[in-house]
Amino acid sequence: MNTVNAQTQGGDLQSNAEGQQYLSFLLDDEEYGIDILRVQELRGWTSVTRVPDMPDYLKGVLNLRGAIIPVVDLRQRFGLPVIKYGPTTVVIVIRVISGVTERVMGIIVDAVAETYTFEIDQIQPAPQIGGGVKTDYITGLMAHGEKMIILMDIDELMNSEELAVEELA
Amino acid sequence: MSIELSQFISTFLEESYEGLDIMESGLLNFNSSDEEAINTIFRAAHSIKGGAGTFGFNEVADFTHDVETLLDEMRSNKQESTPALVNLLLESTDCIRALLEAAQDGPEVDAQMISQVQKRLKEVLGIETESIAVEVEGSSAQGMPAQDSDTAWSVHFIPNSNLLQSGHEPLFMFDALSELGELEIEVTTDILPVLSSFKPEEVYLSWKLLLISECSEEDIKEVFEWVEDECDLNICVSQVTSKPEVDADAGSGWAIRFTPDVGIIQTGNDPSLMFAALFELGDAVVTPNFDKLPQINDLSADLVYLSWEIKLTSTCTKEEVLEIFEWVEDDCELDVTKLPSVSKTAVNHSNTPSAVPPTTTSNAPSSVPNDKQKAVDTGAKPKGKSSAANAKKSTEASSIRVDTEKVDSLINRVGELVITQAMLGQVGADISEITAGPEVERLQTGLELLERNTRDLQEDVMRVRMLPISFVFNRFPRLVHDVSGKLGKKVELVLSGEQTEIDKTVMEKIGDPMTHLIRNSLDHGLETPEERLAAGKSEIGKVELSAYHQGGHIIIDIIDDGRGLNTQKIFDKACEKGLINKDQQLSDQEINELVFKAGFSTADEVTDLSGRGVGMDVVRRNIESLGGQVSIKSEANKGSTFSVKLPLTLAILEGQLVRVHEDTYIIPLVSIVETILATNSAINSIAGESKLLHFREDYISLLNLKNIFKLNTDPQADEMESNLIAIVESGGKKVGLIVDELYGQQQVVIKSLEVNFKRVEGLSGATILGDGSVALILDVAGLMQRGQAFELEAAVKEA
Repeated sequence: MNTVNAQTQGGDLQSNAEGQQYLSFLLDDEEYGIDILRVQELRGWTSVTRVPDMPDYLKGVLNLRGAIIPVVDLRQRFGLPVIKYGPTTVVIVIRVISGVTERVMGIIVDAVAETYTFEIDQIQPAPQIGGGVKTDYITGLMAHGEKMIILMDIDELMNSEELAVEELA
Repeated sequence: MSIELSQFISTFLEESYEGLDIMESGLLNFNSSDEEAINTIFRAAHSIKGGAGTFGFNEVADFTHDVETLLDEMRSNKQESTPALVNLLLESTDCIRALLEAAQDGPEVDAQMISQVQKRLKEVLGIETESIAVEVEGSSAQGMPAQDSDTAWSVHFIPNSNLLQSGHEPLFMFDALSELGELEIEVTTDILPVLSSFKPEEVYLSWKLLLISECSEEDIKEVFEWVEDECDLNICVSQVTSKPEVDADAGSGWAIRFTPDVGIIQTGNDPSLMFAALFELGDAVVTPNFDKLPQINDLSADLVYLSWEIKLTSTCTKEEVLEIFEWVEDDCELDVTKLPSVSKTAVNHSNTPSAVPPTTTSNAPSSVPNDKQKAVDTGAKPKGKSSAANAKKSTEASSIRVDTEKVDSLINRVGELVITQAMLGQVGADISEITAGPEVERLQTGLELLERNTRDLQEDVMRVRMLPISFVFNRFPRLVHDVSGKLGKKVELVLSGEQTEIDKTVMEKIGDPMTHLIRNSLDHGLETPEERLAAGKSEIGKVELSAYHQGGHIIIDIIDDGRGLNTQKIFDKACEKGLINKDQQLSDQEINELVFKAGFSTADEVTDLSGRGVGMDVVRRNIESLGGQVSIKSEANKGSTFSVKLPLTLAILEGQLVRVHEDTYIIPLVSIVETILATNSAINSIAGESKLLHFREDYISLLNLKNIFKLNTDPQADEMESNLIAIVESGGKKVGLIVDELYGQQQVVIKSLEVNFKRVEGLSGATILGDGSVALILDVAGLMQRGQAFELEAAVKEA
């Protein structure tokens, strides 16, 4: 797997003035965007193996060509109502940087929407939302016509709480 | 030339550690009559020194230099090899190791220890230094030294400025020189121009080389042969160190005329082997003589028609030469004559005193008389280019260094292949059920072939990770040497089955527990020589290490012929420590097993070596964490045997597939004692949740995986509890796991959960089943802890 290559490319592109590409997906009628260079592949929903004593949003682990990867239901992660997985349900396999290591994980979303290229200066900073909602993993908002796309930092998102890498002993 | 050296440092360190291992094993089996052994040790030290210098580890280089000097003196018989000296050298290897580890950002070195050992080294060498002064005076007064020992050659090498353009590289020549002996290089930069007029293709340097070697001037000239016309070369004897001849025959070389009988090959002797042996002694030039060669029609493949003239440049004795031809004495004409010493008068200009320690065997400061001394005296050690080259050949085994990551990824990929193959096999079977025909048959044949090939491939790939267990065993002779010395016991260590292969990861982790077991045998198992004699045994105790394969496992036995375990003492001690009840009736075997309990030690006094009470339980825990087992057999006054049973590899595990609720889990077969279908009456409830199983006079606590893993979402289902119980064991404790169904047993490839996820207590990993789904592998020790935590939690909830 040439994940390392793709990674360095990602770094190059980020500083590129031509802008950054995002993959957007739907979650409870909202559109979210993530850095497309972190996306390894898209898979249809297949049942996973439950890992005992894990929070509900962590659906379990699946076999990705020999690698065991954890799968997170983003709806449950965000506290959105649970729906039945349907034909459009997609597992987005992403690469998450966790400290010095890179991990491969899956996120379950309602559907994949589009890919966009945004200039860095088009992105508006995330508004400070009061209350208990954590917005650390929202890097910015992006208006596209009528729609608003919420850009997410997957490293922040996937390294929080239960998924955090344990301190190396 | 700027080469980024740092990338080679790890290689250097790795090689140095190997070198140290070679030195250590060489020293332990040290036999001063074995020239090759001391040469091997010397070479190892030499390359460590060289490497350390190159990479700027000056402390290592300095220290190793002294070691090397001492070794050099030993091999040229200037120092007697006494056991004390060997011990000093062994300590020195420890110091070098410590220094290297420190260089590799390891722990701080014990500077005091290092300097102390170095002082002792210098002391041993220092006595020599005094005698040099005398000798040097003597020899310079004499003016003309003899040529049968180390000569300090001073070579002044002034290349023409266009040397590089003709494709010559001074570095290579220096390398070649350093193979002849010890080389010191001094560079002269006098004619270096200013930077602006500097031409990259030109050489502005000249070198002064000091070569300490037994080689002849020709040898040196040969190195510079190709550049003869493009340089000023000035070779002279800088200072010759003389040594009284041990043997009157010893000289600069031998002319050997070897005319074998035509039938020599039929007697099973091969002249080329003898020549190879000659090359070991020194530099030999072999010239065949074709005079007697018949017409090609008359040639017979079994007959030898050649004779040879060999010019051997060596300081060896005539006996050594004759010994090589010992076997063919009667089948050949052999004529060995001494070559005249190469005269050095013509080139002997300078007489700068050198630092070469000239000594005689007679004035060597031997502290302990050594019965091996005679062997040492037989002659000077060869130290020629060819012997170095030969050694290189033998150490360069046909192996390659590969990053373990690459191997692991290969193993993973093959694991995938096996799963894919299983899937295809299933599809093929399905197809053949529906239809039949020649195509289907061909498909079947192909699939069968695929299956066989993938299995073979998997086995082969697994074997890449396997190394002979000698890598672990090799450290024990040293351990036994040190420990037995400390304890004042006489011990013979017998190793067998060193070639038994085992996974590298297992091997890395088995070293410490093994060390502990062996120390234990030495400390507690074996008696002192007096006790042994009193018991009618041989004074020398025997510890045997033997490794062998048995049914997918490797078994390592540590057998001593000592006093055996004292069951009464263990029983008393266990009572005292509260591990068992005084009224308990235990079999001898059960009592022996007690030594594996935590906090147990029977040593009457705590020694430096063992007996702190953190021993056997740690050993057991370590071995079990590798998926292994340790057992003990003992007979009073006959000795005891510790058997360590380990899986061949950590990548594959024999597992029992079980169903719990809706999920499939795998229990490592090695931890399963028994699976039973318990009757309701055998299960006793105590205080609510926790349950005990009455199993063969024993009460075993039961763990309900559903509860521990919080799988049960439906409280109603609790009523339908299964009575199927897998009794598992870890750390000497048994628990029963309640499972819903037993599936088959199969070999599974262990995958880490940590790579992309995290460690989960109670699980040791996951695997991929034939249908591509993931199954989790249970970790029995973790489950027990989890069970305890769960019960605590439940108790808190109730209160």
